[in-house]
Amino acid sequence: VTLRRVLVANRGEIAVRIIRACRNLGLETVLTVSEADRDSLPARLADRTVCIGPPAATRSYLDPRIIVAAAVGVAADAIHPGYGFLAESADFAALCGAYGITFVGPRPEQIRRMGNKLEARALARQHGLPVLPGSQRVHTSEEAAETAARIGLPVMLKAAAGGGGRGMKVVRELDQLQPMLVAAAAEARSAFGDDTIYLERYIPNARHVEVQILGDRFGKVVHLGERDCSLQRRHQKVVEEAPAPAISAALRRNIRRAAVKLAEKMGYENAGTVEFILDQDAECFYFLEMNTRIQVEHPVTEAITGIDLVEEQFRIAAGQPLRYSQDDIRFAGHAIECRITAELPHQGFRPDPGRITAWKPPEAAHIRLDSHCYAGYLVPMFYDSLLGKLIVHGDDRRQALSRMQDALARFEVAGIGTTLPFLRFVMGHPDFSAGRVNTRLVEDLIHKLPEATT
Amino acid sequence: MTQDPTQEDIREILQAFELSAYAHLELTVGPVQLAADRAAALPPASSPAATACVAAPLLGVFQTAAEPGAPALVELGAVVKPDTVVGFIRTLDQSTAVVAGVDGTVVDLPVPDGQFVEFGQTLLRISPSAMAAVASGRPDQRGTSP
Repeated sequence: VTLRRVLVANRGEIAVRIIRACRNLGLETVLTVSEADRDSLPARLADRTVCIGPPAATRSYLDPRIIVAAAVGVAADAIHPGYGFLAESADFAALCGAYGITFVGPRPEQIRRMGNKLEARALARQHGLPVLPGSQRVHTSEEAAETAARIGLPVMLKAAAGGGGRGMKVVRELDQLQPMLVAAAAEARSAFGDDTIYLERYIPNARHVEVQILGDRFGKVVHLGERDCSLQRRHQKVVEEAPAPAISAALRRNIRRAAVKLAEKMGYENAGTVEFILDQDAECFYFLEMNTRIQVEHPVTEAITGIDLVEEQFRIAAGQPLRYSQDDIRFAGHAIECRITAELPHQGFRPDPGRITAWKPPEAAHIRLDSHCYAGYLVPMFYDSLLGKLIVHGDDRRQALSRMQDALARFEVAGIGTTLPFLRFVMGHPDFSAGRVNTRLVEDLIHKLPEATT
Repeated sequence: MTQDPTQEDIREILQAFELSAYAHLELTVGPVQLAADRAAALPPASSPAATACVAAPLLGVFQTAAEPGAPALVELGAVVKPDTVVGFIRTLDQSTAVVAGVDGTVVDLPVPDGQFVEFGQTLLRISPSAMAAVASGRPDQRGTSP
Protein backbone atom coordinates (compact mmCIF):
# COMPACT_ATOMS: atom_id res chain seq x y z
CA VAL A 1 0.00 0.00 0.00
CA THR A 2 1.20 3.50 -0.71
CA LEU A 3 -0.11 6.04 1.76
CA ARG A 4 -0.56 9.57 0.55
CA ARG A 5 -3.18 11.30 2.69
CA VAL A 6 -3.81 10.62 6.37
CA LEU A 7 -6.85 11.48 8.45
CA VAL A 8 -5.57 12.38 11.91
CA ALA A 9 -8.52 11.36 14.09
CA ASN A 10 -7.55 12.91 17.39
CA ARG A 11 -6.84 16.23 19.06
CA GLY A 12 -4.42 17.93 21.43
CA GLU A 13 -0.75 17.08 21.75
CA ILE A 14 -0.99 13.69 20.02
CA ALA A 15 -2.56 15.31 16.93
CA VAL A 16 0.43 17.66 16.76
CA ARG A 17 2.76 14.69 17.21
CA ILE A 18 1.12 12.66 14.40
CA ILE A 19 1.07 15.63 12.00
CA ARG A 20 4.79 16.12 12.61
CA ALA A 21 5.50 12.46 11.77
CA CYS A 22 3.38 12.76 8.60
CA ARG A 23 5.38 15.79 7.50
CA ASN A 24 8.64 13.90 7.95
CA LEU A 25 7.26 11.10 5.79
CA GLY A 26 5.84 13.44 3.15
CA LEU A 27 2.23 12.50 3.94
CA GLU A 28 -0.65 14.95 3.54
CA THR A 29 -2.69 15.51 6.71
CA VAL A 30 -6.39 16.12 7.27
CA LEU A 31 -7.29 16.74 10.90
CA THR A 32 -10.71 15.98 12.37
CA VAL A 33 -11.88 18.82 14.61
CA SER A 34 -14.95 19.29 16.76
CA GLU A 35 -16.47 22.76 16.94
CA ALA A 36 -14.40 23.37 20.09
CA ASP A 37 -11.13 22.60 18.30
CA ARG A 38 -11.51 24.55 15.06
CA ASP A 39 -8.78 27.02 16.05
CA SER A 40 -6.44 24.58 17.79
CA LEU A 41 -2.70 24.38 17.15
CA PRO A 42 -2.95 21.07 15.27
CA ALA A 43 -5.75 22.61 13.17
CA ARG A 44 -3.27 25.26 12.06
CA LEU A 45 -0.52 22.71 11.40
CA ALA A 46 -2.60 20.26 9.36
CA ASP A 47 -2.93 20.67 5.59
CA ARG A 48 -6.68 20.90 6.08
CA THR A 49 -9.30 20.25 8.71
CA VAL A 50 -12.73 18.71 8.62
CA CYS A 51 -15.32 19.63 11.24
CA ILE A 52 -16.86 16.40 12.49
CA GLY A 53 -19.40 17.61 15.03
CA PRO A 54 -20.22 19.51 18.19
CA PRO A 55 -17.79 19.63 21.14
CA ALA A 56 -19.25 16.56 22.90
CA ALA A 57 -16.87 13.69 22.08
CA THR A 58 -19.69 11.15 21.74
CA ARG A 59 -20.98 13.13 18.76
CA SER A 60 -17.56 13.85 17.27
CA TYR A 61 -14.28 12.09 18.14
CA LEU A 62 -15.98 8.97 19.52
CA ASP A 63 -18.35 8.34 16.61
CA PRO A 64 -16.76 5.66 14.39
CA ARG A 65 -19.15 6.22 11.48
CA ILE A 66 -18.53 9.96 11.39
CA ILE A 67 -14.75 9.47 11.42
CA VAL A 68 -14.79 6.88 8.63
CA ALA A 69 -17.23 9.03 6.60
CA ALA A 70 -14.81 11.94 7.03
CA ALA A 71 -11.93 9.82 5.72
CA VAL A 72 -14.01 8.71 2.71
CA GLY A 73 -15.18 12.30 2.13
CA VAL A 74 -11.66 13.75 2.00
CA ALA A 75 -10.24 10.71 0.15
CA ALA A 76 -7.77 9.78 2.88
CA ASP A 77 -5.97 6.44 2.49
CA ALA A 78 -5.31 5.96 6.20
CA ILE A 79 -6.57 6.94 9.64
CA HIS A 80 -4.24 7.42 12.60
CA PRO A 81 -6.36 7.17 15.76
CA GLY A 82 -3.73 8.38 18.26
CA TYR A 83 -4.56 7.19 21.79
CA GLY A 84 -7.87 7.30 23.63
CA PHE A 85 -11.11 7.93 21.69
CA LEU A 86 -11.36 5.15 19.06
CA ALA A 87 -7.75 3.94 19.19
CA GLU A 88 -8.64 0.62 20.81
CA SER A 89 -12.01 0.02 19.19
CA ALA A 90 -11.86 -3.19 17.17
CA ASP A 91 -15.18 -2.27 15.54
CA PHE A 92 -13.75 1.04 14.37
CA ALA A 93 -10.64 -0.65 12.94
CA ALA A 94 -12.88 -3.15 11.13
CA LEU A 95 -15.09 -0.34 9.77
CA CYS A 96 -11.99 1.39 8.36
CA GLY A 97 -11.10 -1.85 6.60
CA ALA A 98 -14.62 -2.26 5.22
CA TYR A 99 -14.28 1.12 3.50
CA GLY A 100 -10.80 0.41 2.17
CA ILE A 101 -9.03 2.72 4.59
CA THR A 102 -5.82 1.65 6.30
CA PHE A 103 -6.13 1.73 10.08
CA VAL A 104 -2.75 2.70 11.53
CA GLY A 105 -2.62 0.08 14.25
CA PRO A 106 -2.99 -3.65 14.77
CA ARG A 107 -5.57 -5.85 13.10
CA PRO A 108 -9.11 -5.68 14.52
CA GLU A 109 -9.01 -9.20 16.01
CA GLN A 110 -5.78 -8.35 17.86
CA ILE A 111 -7.38 -5.25 19.35
CA ARG A 112 -10.44 -7.29 20.32
CA ARG A 113 -8.49 -10.07 22.06
CA MET A 114 -6.38 -7.66 24.08
CA GLY A 115 -9.32 -5.35 24.80
CA ASN A 116 -10.92 -8.00 26.97
CA LYS A 117 -8.60 -8.31 29.98
CA LEU A 118 -9.81 -11.81 30.82
CA GLU A 119 -9.10 -13.01 27.30
CA ALA A 120 -5.73 -11.27 27.34
CA ARG A 121 -4.82 -13.02 30.61
CA ALA A 122 -5.81 -16.38 29.15
CA LEU A 123 -3.75 -15.76 26.02
CA ALA A 124 -0.70 -14.69 28.05
CA ARG A 125 -0.96 -17.76 30.27
CA GLN A 126 -1.33 -20.00 27.23
CA HIS A 127 1.95 -18.64 25.88
CA GLY A 128 3.76 -19.24 29.13
CA LEU A 129 3.79 -15.70 30.57
CA PRO A 130 3.37 -15.37 34.33
CA VAL A 131 -0.06 -13.97 35.25
CA LEU A 132 -1.27 -12.89 38.68
CA PRO A 133 -3.30 -15.46 40.62
CA GLY A 134 -6.91 -14.57 39.96
CA SER A 135 -10.33 -15.61 38.82
CA GLN A 136 -12.52 -15.89 35.80
CA ARG A 137 -15.62 -13.71 35.68
CA VAL A 138 -17.23 -13.54 39.12
CA HIS A 139 -21.02 -13.59 39.20
CA THR A 140 -21.79 -13.43 42.91
CA SER A 141 -20.14 -12.08 46.03
CA GLU A 142 -19.93 -15.68 47.36
CA GLU A 143 -17.89 -16.61 44.31
CA ALA A 144 -15.70 -13.55 44.84
CA ALA A 145 -15.21 -14.43 48.51
CA GLU A 146 -14.11 -17.96 47.57
CA THR A 147 -11.54 -16.59 45.13
CA ALA A 148 -10.33 -14.02 47.65
CA ALA A 149 -9.86 -16.77 50.22
CA ARG A 150 -7.90 -18.84 47.70
CA ILE A 151 -5.53 -16.11 46.49
CA GLY A 152 -5.35 -14.16 49.75
CA LEU A 153 -6.18 -10.53 50.58
CA PRO A 154 -5.68 -7.85 49.44
CA VAL A 155 -7.24 -8.44 46.03
CA MET A 156 -7.92 -6.15 43.11
CA LEU A 157 -11.32 -6.07 41.42
CA LYS A 158 -11.01 -5.34 37.73
CA ALA A 159 -13.34 -4.74 34.82
CA ALA A 160 -12.76 -7.17 31.95
CA ALA A 161 -13.50 -4.39 29.46
CA GLY A 162 -11.47 -1.94 31.56
CA GLY A 163 -8.92 0.71 30.87
CA GLY A 164 -7.71 3.97 32.34
CA GLY A 165 -8.14 2.73 35.89
CA ARG A 166 -11.93 2.75 35.84
CA GLY A 167 -13.72 -0.17 37.45
CA MET A 168 -10.64 -1.03 39.52
CA LYS A 169 -10.93 -1.44 43.31
CA VAL A 170 -8.54 -2.72 45.94
CA VAL A 171 -10.20 -4.85 48.63
CA ARG A 172 -8.27 -5.22 51.88
CA GLU A 173 -10.95 -6.66 54.18
CA LEU A 174 -13.38 -9.45 53.39
CA ASP A 175 -16.41 -7.44 54.52
CA GLN A 176 -15.60 -4.77 51.89
CA LEU A 177 -15.75 -7.32 49.10
CA GLN A 178 -19.49 -7.27 48.49
CA PRO A 179 -20.01 -3.46 48.38
CA MET A 180 -16.82 -2.96 46.34
CA LEU A 181 -17.95 -5.60 43.87
CA VAL A 182 -21.25 -3.79 43.37
CA ALA A 183 -19.45 -0.44 42.96
CA ALA A 184 -16.87 -1.82 40.51
CA ALA A 185 -19.58 -3.48 38.40
CA ALA A 186 -21.64 -0.27 38.30
CA GLU A 187 -18.58 1.77 37.31
CA ALA A 188 -17.65 -0.75 34.61
CA ARG A 189 -21.20 -0.82 33.24
CA SER A 190 -21.38 2.96 32.89
CA ALA A 191 -17.82 3.35 31.54
CA PHE A 192 -17.64 0.37 29.18
CA GLY A 193 -21.19 -1.00 28.86
CA ASP A 194 -19.93 -4.30 30.27
CA ASP A 195 -20.04 -5.15 33.98
CA THR A 196 -17.85 -8.26 33.83
CA ILE A 197 -15.56 -8.20 36.88
CA TYR A 198 -12.73 -10.51 37.84
CA LEU A 199 -10.30 -10.71 40.77
CA GLU A 200 -6.53 -10.57 40.82
CA ARG A 201 -4.03 -10.69 43.64
CA TYR A 202 -3.05 -7.16 44.65
CA ILE A 203 0.68 -6.52 45.00
CA PRO A 204 1.26 -3.73 47.56
CA ASN A 205 4.91 -2.99 46.80
CA ALA A 206 4.53 -3.01 43.04
CA ARG A 207 6.07 -1.26 40.13
CA HIS A 208 4.49 -0.81 36.75
CA VAL A 209 6.93 -1.77 34.00
CA GLU A 210 5.93 -1.98 30.35
CA VAL A 211 7.76 -3.07 27.21
CA GLN A 212 7.43 -1.26 23.89
CA ILE A 213 7.27 -3.60 20.94
CA LEU A 214 7.00 -3.22 17.18
CA GLY A 215 5.80 -6.01 14.92
CA ASP A 216 5.44 -6.12 11.14
CA ARG A 217 3.09 -8.16 9.01
CA PHE A 218 5.85 -10.65 8.22
CA GLY A 219 5.90 -11.91 11.78
CA LYS A 220 8.99 -10.04 12.92
CA VAL A 221 8.89 -8.49 16.38
CA VAL A 222 11.43 -6.32 18.19
CA HIS A 223 11.31 -4.64 21.59
CA LEU A 224 12.49 -1.08 22.25
CA GLY A 225 13.18 -1.60 25.90
CA GLU A 226 10.94 -0.95 28.86
CA ARG A 227 9.47 2.04 30.67
CA ASP A 228 8.76 2.41 34.35
CA CYS A 229 5.38 4.05 34.90
CA SER A 230 5.00 3.41 38.62
CA LEU A 231 4.14 7.00 39.45
CA GLN A 232 0.36 6.98 39.10
CA ARG A 233 -2.58 8.77 40.59
CA ARG A 234 -5.80 6.80 40.56
CA HIS A 235 -4.20 4.35 38.12
CA GLN A 236 -3.37 7.22 35.73
CA LYS A 237 0.28 7.66 34.92
CA VAL A 238 1.92 10.91 36.05
CA VAL A 239 5.65 10.37 35.42
CA GLU A 240 7.34 7.78 33.19
CA GLU A 241 10.97 6.92 32.63
CA ALA A 242 13.13 4.68 30.48
CA PRO A 243 14.92 2.44 31.08
CA ALA A 244 13.32 1.11 34.29
CA PRO A 245 15.68 1.98 37.17
CA ALA A 246 17.02 -0.38 39.79
CA ILE A 247 16.11 -3.79 38.41
CA SER A 248 18.51 -6.67 37.89
CA ALA A 249 19.87 -7.42 34.43
CA ALA A 250 18.23 -10.85 34.51
CA LEU A 251 14.81 -9.47 35.40
CA ARG A 252 15.05 -6.82 32.70
CA ARG A 253 16.01 -9.43 30.11
CA ASN A 254 13.18 -11.77 31.13
CA ILE A 255 10.51 -9.07 31.01
CA ARG A 256 11.61 -7.94 27.55
CA ARG A 257 11.68 -11.55 26.32
CA ALA A 258 8.21 -12.25 27.68
CA ALA A 259 6.78 -9.24 25.83
CA VAL A 260 8.40 -10.22 22.53
CA LYS A 261 7.21 -13.80 22.92
CA LEU A 262 3.59 -12.77 23.43
CA ALA A 263 3.68 -10.45 20.42
CA GLU A 264 5.35 -13.10 18.25
CA LYS A 265 2.85 -15.77 19.23
CA MET A 266 -0.09 -13.59 18.22
CA GLY A 267 1.60 -12.27 15.06
CA TYR A 268 1.17 -8.80 16.45
CA GLU A 269 1.29 -6.04 13.86
CA ASN A 270 2.24 -2.39 14.56
CA ALA A 271 3.24 -0.68 17.81
CA GLY A 272 2.09 -2.16 21.10
CA THR A 273 2.93 -2.16 24.77
CA VAL A 274 2.93 -5.17 27.07
CA GLU A 275 2.36 -4.08 30.66
CA PHE A 276 3.68 -5.94 33.67
CA ILE A 277 3.42 -5.67 37.42
CA LEU A 278 6.73 -6.05 39.15
CA ASP A 279 6.57 -7.46 42.68
CA GLN A 280 9.59 -5.76 44.28
CA ASP A 281 9.51 -7.94 47.39
CA ALA A 282 9.40 -11.24 45.51
CA GLU A 283 11.56 -10.01 42.56
CA CYS A 284 9.17 -11.43 39.99
CA PHE A 285 6.81 -10.05 37.36
CA TYR A 286 3.32 -10.74 36.06
CA PHE A 287 1.55 -9.93 32.81
CA LEU A 288 -1.03 -7.20 33.32
CA GLU A 289 -2.42 -6.25 29.90
CA MET A 290 -1.43 -5.22 26.41
CA ASN A 291 -2.18 -1.82 24.94
CA THR A 292 -2.74 -1.99 21.19
CA ARG A 293 -1.93 1.62 20.32
CA ILE A 294 0.71 4.30 20.57
CA GLN A 295 0.96 5.33 24.22
CA VAL A 296 1.08 8.74 25.81
CA GLU A 297 4.53 7.99 27.24
CA HIS A 298 6.13 6.79 23.97
CA PRO A 299 8.60 9.75 23.84
CA VAL A 300 10.82 8.38 26.62
CA THR A 301 11.43 5.30 24.47
CA GLU A 302 12.12 7.49 21.45
CA ALA A 303 14.59 9.51 23.53
CA ILE A 304 16.74 6.50 24.46
CA THR A 305 16.50 4.61 21.14
CA GLY A 306 16.43 7.43 18.59
CA ILE A 307 13.55 5.65 16.81
CA ASP A 308 10.42 7.60 15.84
CA LEU A 309 7.60 5.28 16.87
CA VAL A 310 4.83 7.11 15.03
CA GLU A 311 6.79 7.05 11.78
CA GLU A 312 7.35 3.32 12.29
CA GLN A 313 3.59 2.89 12.79
CA PHE A 314 2.97 4.37 9.34
CA ARG A 315 5.66 2.22 7.70
CA ILE A 316 4.23 -0.93 9.25
CA ALA A 317 0.67 0.05 8.31
CA ALA A 318 1.85 0.55 4.72
CA GLY A 319 3.04 -3.05 4.74
CA GLN A 320 6.77 -2.40 4.93
CA PRO A 321 9.01 -4.84 6.81
CA LEU A 322 10.69 -3.65 10.01
CA ARG A 323 13.94 -1.91 9.25
CA TYR A 324 15.58 -3.12 12.46
CA SER A 325 16.72 -6.36 13.95
CA GLN A 326 16.90 -6.56 17.71
CA ASP A 327 20.66 -6.07 17.62
CA ASP A 328 20.29 -2.82 15.66
CA ILE A 329 18.39 -1.23 18.52
CA ARG A 330 20.76 0.59 20.85
CA PHE A 331 19.87 2.22 24.11
CA ALA A 332 21.52 5.48 25.12
CA GLY A 333 21.15 7.31 28.41
CA HIS A 334 18.01 7.87 30.46
CA ALA A 335 14.77 9.76 29.78
CA ILE A 336 11.98 11.03 32.06
CA GLU A 337 8.56 12.37 31.09
CA CYS A 338 6.21 14.46 33.22
CA ARG A 339 2.57 14.84 32.20
CA ILE A 340 1.39 18.40 32.77
CA THR A 341 -2.37 18.64 33.18
CA ALA A 342 -4.83 21.48 33.82
CA GLU A 343 -5.68 20.32 37.32
CA LEU A 344 -5.40 21.86 40.78
CA PRO A 345 -3.18 19.68 43.00
CA HIS A 346 -4.36 21.43 46.18
CA GLN A 347 -8.02 20.87 45.36
CA GLY A 348 -7.99 17.14 44.80
CA PHE A 349 -6.73 17.56 41.23
CA ARG A 350 -9.95 19.21 40.14
CA PRO A 351 -9.81 20.05 36.41
CA ASP A 352 -9.22 23.75 35.77
CA PRO A 353 -9.91 24.51 32.11
CA GLY A 354 -9.81 28.08 30.86
CA ARG A 355 -7.65 30.49 28.92
CA ILE A 356 -3.87 30.25 29.12
CA THR A 357 -2.45 33.77 29.46
CA ALA A 358 1.24 32.84 29.62
CA TRP A 359 2.97 29.70 28.30
CA LYS A 360 6.74 29.78 28.61
CA PRO A 361 8.28 26.33 28.38
CA PRO A 362 12.01 25.83 28.96
CA GLU A 363 14.12 25.15 25.89
CA ALA A 364 17.34 23.16 25.53
CA ALA A 365 18.78 20.44 23.34
CA HIS A 366 17.98 17.76 25.93
CA ILE A 367 14.37 18.96 26.41
CA ARG A 368 11.39 17.89 24.32
CA LEU A 369 7.92 19.29 24.82
CA ASP A 370 4.93 17.61 23.17
CA SER A 371 2.07 20.07 23.51
CA HIS A 372 -0.71 21.87 21.67
CA CYS A 373 -0.78 24.83 24.07
CA TYR A 374 0.24 28.45 23.57
CA ALA A 375 -0.42 31.79 25.25
CA GLY A 376 -4.01 32.72 24.45
CA TYR A 377 -5.22 29.14 23.98
CA LEU A 378 -8.57 28.30 25.55
CA VAL A 379 -8.36 24.85 27.17
CA PRO A 380 -11.79 23.38 26.46
CA MET A 381 -13.64 21.69 29.29
CA PHE A 382 -14.95 18.91 27.07
CA TYR A 383 -11.86 16.71 26.94
CA ASP A 384 -9.09 15.34 29.13
CA SER A 385 -6.91 17.87 30.87
CA LEU A 386 -3.50 16.97 29.40
CA LEU A 387 -1.67 20.17 28.43
CA GLY A 388 1.62 18.65 27.43
CA LYS A 389 4.42 16.24 28.14
CA LEU A 390 7.82 17.46 29.21
CA ILE A 391 10.56 14.99 28.29
CA VAL A 392 14.23 15.28 29.20
CA HIS A 393 17.17 13.10 28.28
CA GLY A 394 20.46 12.67 30.13
CA ASP A 395 23.50 10.41 30.08
CA ASP A 396 22.20 8.66 33.16
CA ARG A 397 19.23 8.83 35.53
CA ARG A 398 20.91 11.31 37.85
CA GLN A 399 21.56 13.77 35.03
CA ALA A 400 18.10 13.27 33.53
CA LEU A 401 16.51 13.94 36.90
CA SER A 402 18.50 17.10 37.56
CA ARG A 403 17.62 18.33 34.07
CA MET A 404 13.94 17.58 34.71
CA GLN A 405 14.04 19.50 38.01
CA ASP A 406 15.64 22.44 36.24
CA ALA A 407 13.19 22.31 33.31
CA LEU A 408 10.16 22.18 35.64
CA ALA A 409 11.50 25.10 37.66
CA ARG A 410 11.77 27.24 34.53
CA PHE A 411 8.37 26.28 33.06
CA GLU A 412 5.95 29.21 33.45
CA VAL A 413 2.22 28.92 32.89
CA ALA A 414 -0.40 31.48 33.86
CA GLY A 415 -4.15 31.82 33.50
CA ILE A 416 -5.05 28.29 34.53
CA GLY A 417 -3.99 25.97 37.33
CA THR A 418 -1.58 23.18 36.41
CA THR A 419 0.10 20.21 38.05
CA LEU A 420 3.55 21.83 37.64
CA PRO A 421 3.89 22.56 41.38
CA PHE A 422 3.10 18.95 42.21
CA LEU A 423 5.52 17.63 39.57
CA ARG A 424 8.30 19.86 40.99
CA PHE A 425 7.61 18.43 44.43
CA VAL A 426 7.62 14.81 43.22
CA MET A 427 10.78 15.24 41.12
CA GLY A 428 12.53 16.81 44.12
CA HIS A 429 11.53 14.07 46.53
CA PRO A 430 14.33 11.81 47.82
CA ASP A 431 12.25 8.64 47.28
CA PHE A 432 12.08 9.31 43.56
CA SER A 433 15.72 10.30 43.19
CA ALA A 434 16.75 7.13 45.04
CA GLY A 435 14.58 5.02 42.73
CA ARG A 436 12.42 3.97 45.70
CA VAL A 437 9.21 4.02 43.72
CA ASN A 438 6.06 2.00 43.71
CA THR A 439 2.52 2.47 42.47
CA ARG A 440 1.45 4.11 45.74
CA LEU A 441 4.20 6.75 45.94
CA VAL A 442 2.20 9.52 44.25
CA GLU A 443 -0.84 9.04 46.50
CA ASP A 444 1.49 9.16 49.52
CA LEU A 445 3.18 12.34 48.30
CA ILE A 446 -0.10 14.13 47.63
CA HIS A 447 -0.63 14.30 51.39
CA LYS A 448 2.85 15.72 51.94
CA LEU A 449 2.57 18.41 49.26
CA PRO A 450 3.49 21.70 50.96
CA GLU A 451 0.60 24.16 50.96
CA ALA A 452 2.73 27.03 49.72
CA THR A 453 4.14 25.49 46.51
CA THR A 454 3.46 27.64 43.52
CA MET B 1 -35.38 24.79 43.86
CA THR B 2 -32.63 26.52 41.92
CA GLN B 3 -29.16 26.51 43.36
CA ASP B 4 -26.88 29.49 43.03
CA PRO B 5 -24.34 28.88 40.27
CA THR B 6 -20.88 27.78 41.36
CA GLN B 7 -17.62 29.09 39.92
CA GLU B 8 -17.55 25.91 37.87
CA ASP B 9 -21.01 26.65 36.43
CA ILE B 10 -19.99 30.16 35.48
CA ARG B 11 -16.84 28.91 33.86
CA GLU B 12 -18.94 26.46 31.84
CA ILE B 13 -21.40 29.14 30.81
CA LEU B 14 -18.58 31.42 29.68
CA GLN B 15 -16.90 28.66 27.72
CA ALA B 16 -20.15 27.80 25.96
CA PHE B 17 -20.50 31.50 25.18
CA GLU B 18 -16.94 31.68 23.82
CA LEU B 19 -17.76 28.89 21.43
CA SER B 20 -21.10 30.35 20.38
CA ALA B 21 -21.86 32.68 17.50
CA TYR B 22 -23.30 35.32 19.82
CA ALA B 23 -21.66 38.65 20.58
CA HIS B 24 -23.19 39.57 23.91
CA LEU B 25 -24.35 37.70 26.98
CA GLU B 26 -26.42 38.86 29.95
CA LEU B 27 -27.59 36.48 32.59
CA THR B 28 -29.07 36.71 36.06
CA VAL B 29 -29.33 33.61 38.23
CA GLY B 30 -30.23 34.26 41.87
CA PRO B 31 -27.71 36.73 43.25
CA VAL B 32 -25.32 36.28 40.33
CA GLN B 33 -25.31 38.70 37.44
CA LEU B 34 -23.19 37.95 34.45
CA ALA B 35 -22.44 40.12 31.41
CA ALA B 36 -19.90 39.37 28.72
CA ASP B 37 -18.95 40.48 25.24
CA ARG B 38 -17.20 38.42 22.65
CA ALA B 39 -14.79 40.54 20.64
CA ALA B 40 -14.35 37.93 17.93
CA ALA B 41 -18.10 37.54 17.39
CA LEU B 42 -19.57 38.14 14.00
CA PRO B 43 -21.53 41.33 13.50
CA PRO B 44 -24.98 40.66 14.92
CA ALA B 45 -27.89 40.20 12.59
CA SER B 46 -28.61 43.84 11.93
CA SER B 47 -31.70 43.81 9.77
CA PRO B 48 -34.70 41.54 9.60
CA ALA B 49 -33.77 40.95 5.97
CA ALA B 50 -30.72 38.89 6.99
CA THR B 51 -30.76 35.41 5.52
CA ALA B 52 -31.00 32.28 7.62
CA CYS B 53 -28.43 29.61 6.91
CA VAL B 54 -29.33 25.95 6.91
CA ALA B 55 -26.32 24.14 8.31
CA ALA B 56 -25.36 20.50 7.83
CA PRO B 57 -26.58 18.69 10.97
CA LEU B 58 -23.83 16.13 10.50
CA LEU B 59 -20.96 15.32 8.17
CA GLY B 60 -21.52 13.39 4.95
CA VAL B 61 -22.44 13.71 1.31
CA PHE B 62 -25.14 16.28 0.51
CA GLN B 63 -27.95 15.04 -1.70
CA THR B 64 -30.35 17.56 -3.19
CA ALA B 65 -32.84 14.91 -4.33
CA ALA B 66 -34.69 12.11 -2.58
CA GLU B 67 -33.01 9.57 -4.88
CA PRO B 68 -30.45 9.67 -7.69
CA GLY B 69 -31.92 11.07 -10.88
CA ALA B 70 -34.96 12.57 -9.17
CA PRO B 71 -35.55 16.32 -9.38
CA ALA B 72 -34.03 18.51 -6.66
CA LEU B 73 -36.23 18.93 -3.59
CA VAL B 74 -35.89 22.71 -3.68
CA GLU B 75 -34.81 25.20 -6.35
CA LEU B 76 -33.77 28.83 -6.07
CA GLY B 77 -36.84 30.90 -5.24
CA ALA B 78 -38.69 27.98 -3.66
CA VAL B 79 -40.94 28.90 -0.76
CA VAL B 80 -40.25 26.69 2.26
CA LYS B 81 -41.76 26.03 5.67
CA PRO B 82 -39.76 25.05 8.78
CA ASP B 83 -40.42 21.34 8.17
CA THR B 84 -39.76 21.35 4.41
CA VAL B 85 -37.13 18.72 3.56
CA VAL B 86 -34.46 20.52 1.53
CA GLY B 87 -32.01 17.66 1.10
CA PHE B 88 -30.35 14.63 2.68
CA ILE B 89 -26.95 13.98 4.20
CA ARG B 90 -25.60 10.54 3.43
CA THR B 91 -23.13 9.33 6.08
CA LEU B 92 -21.70 5.97 5.02
CA ASP B 93 -24.91 3.99 4.41
CA GLN B 94 -27.35 6.16 6.37
CA SER B 95 -29.34 9.15 5.19
CA THR B 96 -30.49 12.02 7.37
CA ALA B 97 -33.13 14.50 6.20
CA VAL B 98 -32.29 18.20 6.38
CA VAL B 99 -35.19 20.60 7.00
CA ALA B 100 -35.41 24.32 6.26
CA GLY B 101 -36.10 25.24 9.89
CA VAL B 102 -37.70 28.55 8.93
CA ASP B 103 -40.48 30.03 6.77
CA GLY B 104 -39.07 31.81 3.75
CA THR B 105 -37.65 31.77 0.25
CA VAL B 106 -34.53 29.92 -0.88
CA VAL B 107 -32.03 32.54 -2.07
CA ASP B 108 -28.80 30.55 -2.34
CA LEU B 109 -27.81 26.93 -2.95
CA PRO B 110 -24.03 26.93 -2.48
CA VAL B 111 -23.55 23.15 -2.24
CA PRO B 112 -24.04 21.03 -5.37
CA ASP B 113 -25.53 17.55 -5.27
CA GLY B 114 -23.07 14.85 -4.24
CA GLN B 115 -20.59 17.12 -2.50
CA PHE B 116 -18.98 16.13 0.81
CA VAL B 117 -19.92 18.57 3.57
CA GLU B 118 -18.57 19.10 7.07
CA PHE B 119 -20.63 19.43 10.22
CA GLY B 120 -22.15 22.92 10.38
CA GLN B 121 -21.40 23.78 6.75
CA THR B 122 -23.99 26.06 5.11
CA LEU B 123 -26.15 24.04 2.71
CA LEU B 124 -28.58 26.76 1.66
CA ARG B 125 -29.64 30.27 2.55
CA ILE B 126 -33.20 31.29 3.11
CA SER B 127 -34.66 34.76 3.18
CA PRO B 128 -37.20 34.53 6.00
CA SER B 129 -40.74 35.73 5.28
CA ALA B 130 -41.69 38.97 7.10
CA MET B 131 -43.67 37.16 9.79
CA ALA B 132 -40.82 34.72 10.48
CA ALA B 133 -38.27 37.53 10.71
CA VAL B 134 -40.27 39.29 13.39
CA ALA B 135 -40.77 36.07 15.30
CA SER B 136 -37.13 34.95 15.34
CA GLY B 137 -35.30 38.28 15.42
CA ARG B 138 -31.89 36.65 15.60
CA PRO B 139 -30.45 33.79 13.62
CA ASP B 140 -31.09 30.69 15.65
CA GLN B 141 -29.53 28.24 13.26
CA ARG B 142 -26.25 26.55 13.93
CA GLY B 143 -23.35 27.41 11.73
CA THR B 144 -24.25 30.96 10.87
CA SER B 145 -20.54 31.64 10.57
CA PRO B 146 -19.10 31.36 7.08
